[in-house]
Amino acid sequence: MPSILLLIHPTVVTEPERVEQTKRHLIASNPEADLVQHVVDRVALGQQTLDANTYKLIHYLAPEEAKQNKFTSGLIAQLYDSLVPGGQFTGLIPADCALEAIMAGFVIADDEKSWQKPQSTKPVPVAVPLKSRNQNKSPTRRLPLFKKLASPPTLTDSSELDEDDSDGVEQSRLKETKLVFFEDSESETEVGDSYIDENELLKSADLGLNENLVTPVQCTTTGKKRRKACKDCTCGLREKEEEEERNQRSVQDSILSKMARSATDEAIQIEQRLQAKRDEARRKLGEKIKFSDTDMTEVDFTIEGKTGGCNSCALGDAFRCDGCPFLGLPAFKPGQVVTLDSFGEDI
Amino acid sequence: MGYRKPIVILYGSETGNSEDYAYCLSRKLRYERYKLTVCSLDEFDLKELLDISCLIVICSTAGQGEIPRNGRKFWKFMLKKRLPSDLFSHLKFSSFGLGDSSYPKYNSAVRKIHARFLQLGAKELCMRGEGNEQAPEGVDAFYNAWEETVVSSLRAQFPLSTNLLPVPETELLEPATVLKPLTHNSVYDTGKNIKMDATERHMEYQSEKLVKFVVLENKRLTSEDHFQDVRLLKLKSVECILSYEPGDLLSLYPANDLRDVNALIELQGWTDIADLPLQIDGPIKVQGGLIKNLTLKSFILHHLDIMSIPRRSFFSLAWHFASDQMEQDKLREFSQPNGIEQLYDYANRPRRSILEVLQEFSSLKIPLNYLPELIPRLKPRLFSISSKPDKSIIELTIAIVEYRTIIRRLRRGVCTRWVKTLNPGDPIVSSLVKNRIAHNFKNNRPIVMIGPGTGIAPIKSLIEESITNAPSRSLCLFPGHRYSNKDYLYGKIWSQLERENELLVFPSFSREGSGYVQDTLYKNKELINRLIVSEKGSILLCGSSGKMPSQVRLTLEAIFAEMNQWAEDEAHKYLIALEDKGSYVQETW
Repeated sequence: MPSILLLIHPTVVTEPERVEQTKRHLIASNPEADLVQHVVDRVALGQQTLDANTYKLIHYLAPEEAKQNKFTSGLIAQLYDSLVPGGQFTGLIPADCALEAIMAGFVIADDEKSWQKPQSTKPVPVAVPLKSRNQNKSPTRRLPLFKKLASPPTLTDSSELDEDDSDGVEQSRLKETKLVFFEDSESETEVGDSYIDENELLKSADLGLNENLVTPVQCTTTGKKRRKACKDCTCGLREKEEEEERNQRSVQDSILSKMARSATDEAIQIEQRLQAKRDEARRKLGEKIKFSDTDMTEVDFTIEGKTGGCNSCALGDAFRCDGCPFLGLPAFKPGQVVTLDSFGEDI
Repeated sequence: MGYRKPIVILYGSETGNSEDYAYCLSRKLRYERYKLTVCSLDEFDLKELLDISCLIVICSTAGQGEIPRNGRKFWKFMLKKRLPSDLFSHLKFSSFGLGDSSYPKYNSAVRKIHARFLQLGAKELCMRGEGNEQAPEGVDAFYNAWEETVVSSLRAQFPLSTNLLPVPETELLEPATVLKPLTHNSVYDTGKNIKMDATERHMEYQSEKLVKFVVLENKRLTSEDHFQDVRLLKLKSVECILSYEPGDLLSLYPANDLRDVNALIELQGWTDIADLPLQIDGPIKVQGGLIKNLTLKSFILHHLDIMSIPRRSFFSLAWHFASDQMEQDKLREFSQPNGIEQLYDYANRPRRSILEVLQEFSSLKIPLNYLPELIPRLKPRLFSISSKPDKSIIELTIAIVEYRTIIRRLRRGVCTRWVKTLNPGDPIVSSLVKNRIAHNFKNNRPIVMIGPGTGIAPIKSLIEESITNAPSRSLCLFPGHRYSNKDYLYGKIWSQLERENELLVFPSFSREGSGYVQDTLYKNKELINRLIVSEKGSILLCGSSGKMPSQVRLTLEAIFAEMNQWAEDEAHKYLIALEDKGSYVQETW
């Protein structure tokens, strides 16, 4: 014989007439049913177990304020299991539990005033799109996502806890229910899983994707737009850049020939001065060239219109002026041995 | 030191750019005293998303507008229909995309990820950002603007609980790793067995499966007097259990040139410790795994990209290490937001390498422990396989990259320079990368293949596979080269197949007056229209990105509009529809 379960919130016990009224009402609409009554906390804590496939109706009687106390997924699963197929959960429906209810297998009524355990004989009515993937599975396979909690379920009533803790409890409960989605993702056996069309994501206008974009600020120090030719430049900037580079190379060539000449002079001097150590000097210096300050200055002055007065020409590109003839050549340290070897083969 | 709430930064990266930006952001946020986790989308245990309150995703977009390879597991999870709309209701998040607006699916990966997070209840931390490779400002400018927004939003929304202040910029954060040259051990001759050393790697660090190969052939395909050296690299697998499809890629792990590495070591005064066995304490991630015979020299040789162009983040760390005040100021200037333009002219435009910067800033001495943070990892390079599926043989078609800029020294691609050094008999390791293109062609309908230059590589694989497995299908090839007698890659094979009626070939030789591939396509508009529109065939377009793909697209649209009397708009939509159902596949790089 089908039964009715009246779940009551602990604070309702202090209003016996309200409990009696609800009982009368329930029996009146289900005259042939037995009525059982439990305090919700005992069920939630596992102190009271519910027989499976027993109740056609579970009614939750609780003060309106208790609506905010979420049910744990463990409790919801127990309720689901104890209902007969087609059975209903009614009364005060806790807020924000729809997700867990759906995951347990419930179908939520359109008015959200009851949860129904689906009839096993016919396909689940698709109340929520999330459930659609289960449509053609057998009822026993309907709960692949559900996992029993190892630890006892937490209290449903958090009215005595302070707000912070209740937040924490809420959080962890929420996390538990969400965790199911992740655990499932690790088992590679989800053949029936269906996926959304990723291209639709780009089409949904309601996401407002293109509106909230950070744009770079213009350079405030120079105020000019950066000049970079696009990869597929057709406006002539690429050609202009290439022209600049060609010019720079011919300037470099003239400098290098000057340098080579002064290097030769230097080499002759070295040879004369260090005749005794000639072999050693050769071996040591090899392809290395030594510049003195004078050489540097001389080289600098070979370029028309350039005085080299900035004293930065020798330092390397990072310090050279815009249009410096040395741009693209390695740094020289006057008086130090400079290796041309690092770019030798390409000169 | 107090910390704020933990933040997770996840990256989806093809070549490592997003990864670099992720670490760049993490360094910035460490100065803000956040506790950070940085890893790829797939490495992260997604369950942990429930424990955090702030998530940042930096992601590039792969070829067909997809999520990069190291984010596919993540993405499969995210696309599940049954995920509830409040799954991430506890999360604040932001995203930054790296893209190139010349691709039809510009930044679509990050857009999809962002949209899905919103759908699943996550809230935006701040405005999202997208960097455009093609924009005159460069990706860095977009990134910097976004980074600024992220930092200020975090300050406002996740303030420090106590009266802690951000770490001052002048302070140097603790290095993440400790590098210990083991001085009591005997010296290892790093330069002696470079190629063999590269094949022995620690597997525990990496997810990709390494395959050992022996080089069979490394042959120049273009004539000696042609400006470009294109190589056929033929490899034989040692285990002979390869499994690949047309379109799949092979990932090569190149090494630097020993001379460059020696130059760096000498410059930094590491000569005495360079060949000692090296112990690295702390987390260090290397694609393909750290090599086993580790010395400072081999670490730099095989794992640090010293020839890459330094980013802004390089300078924001490097300036701490320069002792000369003028050099320090200059390096710091490059790291400032308003130094971007200067930095571009100094580093990006002439394609100056990190090594060259270090040579120029001679007072910059890198403390060993900061080396892995300062210099990015040497990344694997991906090449389309050009041979038909086989259990032991793989062929690659590789164009050697060499060019000039204002800098006197020739610019070379690190990987192709390394490829040039490979000789028959040399051992190498690499890993196979699935590209999920082949399934689009598993039918018997015609294929029109357009592949200028080395774009021919995946096409060659598909042609050879189709001839074996679907002999009745129509194959139509549009190769594009400069000269018929200099760089017509595999030209003899195509002529032979044409004689055997296996293939229709319409080559374009741009320097011989026959135009580019798009010109030849237009000349054969009746054929194209018949194969695609009437016979429901597919199009495969491969080659370099940029102008070519968009011009081919426009040409195809023009052909369809003209032949079917469609409006321009209709032809455009038709091509998009082809693309959506996998009948228009673009594989460009």
